[in-house]
Amino acid sequence: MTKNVRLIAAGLRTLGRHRARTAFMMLGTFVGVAALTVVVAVGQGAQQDVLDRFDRMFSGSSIMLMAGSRSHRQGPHASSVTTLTLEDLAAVQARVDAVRLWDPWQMVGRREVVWRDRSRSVAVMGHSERGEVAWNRGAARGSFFTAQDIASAARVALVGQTLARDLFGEADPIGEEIRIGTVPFRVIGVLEVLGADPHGMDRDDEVHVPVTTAMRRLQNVDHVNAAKILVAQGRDLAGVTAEIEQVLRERHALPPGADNDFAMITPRQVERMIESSNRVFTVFLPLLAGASLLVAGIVVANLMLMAVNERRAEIGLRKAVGARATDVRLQLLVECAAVTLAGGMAGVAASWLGLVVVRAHGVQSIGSMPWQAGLVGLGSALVVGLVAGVAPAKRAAGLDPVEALR
Amino acid sequence: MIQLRDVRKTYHKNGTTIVALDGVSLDVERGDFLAVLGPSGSGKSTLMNVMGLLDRPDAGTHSFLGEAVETLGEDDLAALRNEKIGFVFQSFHLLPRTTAQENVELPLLYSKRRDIGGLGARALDAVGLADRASHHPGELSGGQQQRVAIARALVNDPDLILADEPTGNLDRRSGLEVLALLQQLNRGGRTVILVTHDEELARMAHRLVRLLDGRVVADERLQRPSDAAELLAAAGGSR
Repeated sequence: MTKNVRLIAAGLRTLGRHRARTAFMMLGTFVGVAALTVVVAVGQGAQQDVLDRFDRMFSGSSIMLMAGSRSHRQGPHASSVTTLTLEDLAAVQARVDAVRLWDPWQMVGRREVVWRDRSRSVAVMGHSERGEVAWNRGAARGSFFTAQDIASAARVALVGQTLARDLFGEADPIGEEIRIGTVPFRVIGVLEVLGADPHGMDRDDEVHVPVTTAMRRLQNVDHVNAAKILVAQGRDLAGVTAEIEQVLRERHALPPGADNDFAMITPRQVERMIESSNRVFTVFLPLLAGASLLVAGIVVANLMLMAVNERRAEIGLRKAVGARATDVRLQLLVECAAVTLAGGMAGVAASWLGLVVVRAHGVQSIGSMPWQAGLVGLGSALVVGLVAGVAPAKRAAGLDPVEALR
Repeated sequence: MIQLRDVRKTYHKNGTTIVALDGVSLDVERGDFLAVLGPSGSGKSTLMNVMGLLDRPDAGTHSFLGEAVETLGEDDLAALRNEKIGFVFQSFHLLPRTTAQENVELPLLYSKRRDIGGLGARALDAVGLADRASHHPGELSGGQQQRVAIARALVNDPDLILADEPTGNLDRRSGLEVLALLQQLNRGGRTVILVTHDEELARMAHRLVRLLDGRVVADERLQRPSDAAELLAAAGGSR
């Protein structure tokens, strides 16, 4: 064993002899690092969760087209804009060769849905037979719309699973007759589960009907609210967006300089929006965890200064029997760094264990262990310990053995 | 081994100046057993700190093992203390919550030597406490604690043992045991300096230096020092 190895070992043994003080000093970095990793895990989980949901809506290379100018900030439910038609969408597909497929999204709004003596108010939406592909959401049971259903504005409906459970209970909804408002429909399938959307709406508590049926029989309009346009893989979305814009402006006879009476959103824009709205998790809370590490450093520095005062005789003795100032300094720094590092490791271990347990109990919205954040936490803990150790080490190294041994 | 020439040391405390050493000249030969005797405030602790290389004089020259101490840096002094001097203190200064053996091995921690295995155990054996190696200081009697401290002083095989009031916290019997140990070490060839205010203890050394107000007032060779082991044997029946 070389001398420095012996000194480091001696520093660690000293920690073991003062367990209570060591535990207190560890506590700060323990909490700091554990908080950091858990916060990052929660943040990443939340972000991933939202991204996953948007991914299902916007899967692959796609564009959301909405009626209404963006500058009016009208949501997709605004039906005052009456310029977007199914013919527009057909023209877009015909003239923009990158457009692979489109599906209208007609938001009828909440309507009374009645089965036998039960009724519920649910969101009603109109789609085409291509909705299954466009939204990556088909029928879990039963069948999806056919082209014939759309062409003939058939009175058929698909129900979400929440609605299926709440309205039909134990009964099988498929083949049952329901009324939406006053119009009778036949249930042909149950939609695949989608969960809550980013706004917290339960996307399984809704009824889907053919878009043409929604327009003619439920709303009596000839325009649609929105559509999802799938673009061929590898095509530049910005370029495709510009082409679609040109087709629609032409068809709507908008003079140069006039605002678009429609808006388009690409997945990249949505991701940017989500990321900025999650800044609290990715920036603010980690900063807070960092602040707790700072506090931990101050605690360690103070406890260690107190310990140096308490251990004056010990340090004096060490110097008397041949410890140089650098030896004493090294030992104190080792003690501080070991304490904060051990606290940090305990924090990583605890948060890892916590995350494993929570996820094992089915809470998947919390992310898995963010090892990078854990490593950053450990590194910070080590730095905190070394910085916190500077003042105590200096004081200890400067002790006069004659004074200290008196 | 040690040469002090006209060594002076003053302390300034709360505005008053205390002259601790006022021109002390002293030669200590290798193999000597020297007792420094004096009342408290006579400067004997300061003299011991100077001779132990823990403190530097303000004036005068000091040579240790042929080296001029004035020319040495703090790290050189630390190395000399580590390799050449063993300290025994009145209040033992053992580390609590630390086994006897680890206490004994403390100086080895700061030694440049690499082969240090077994030295602690050997030193403990030399003071008759091999069977207490894993005891903590709190589990040992005062006499045993001081013997652990002596083992610590011995562990690096020093040339000089400096004992500052080593029996001050001990009963008479334990004190005699400690003195017997010091005499035995001296017979083995080691230089021993005993600092005390106890005339009876001082008479167990070969040479007696009396200190008063920072000056050496007497320096005599004792023709027949008393033998601690004999006194211990004589007192043995009473316990």
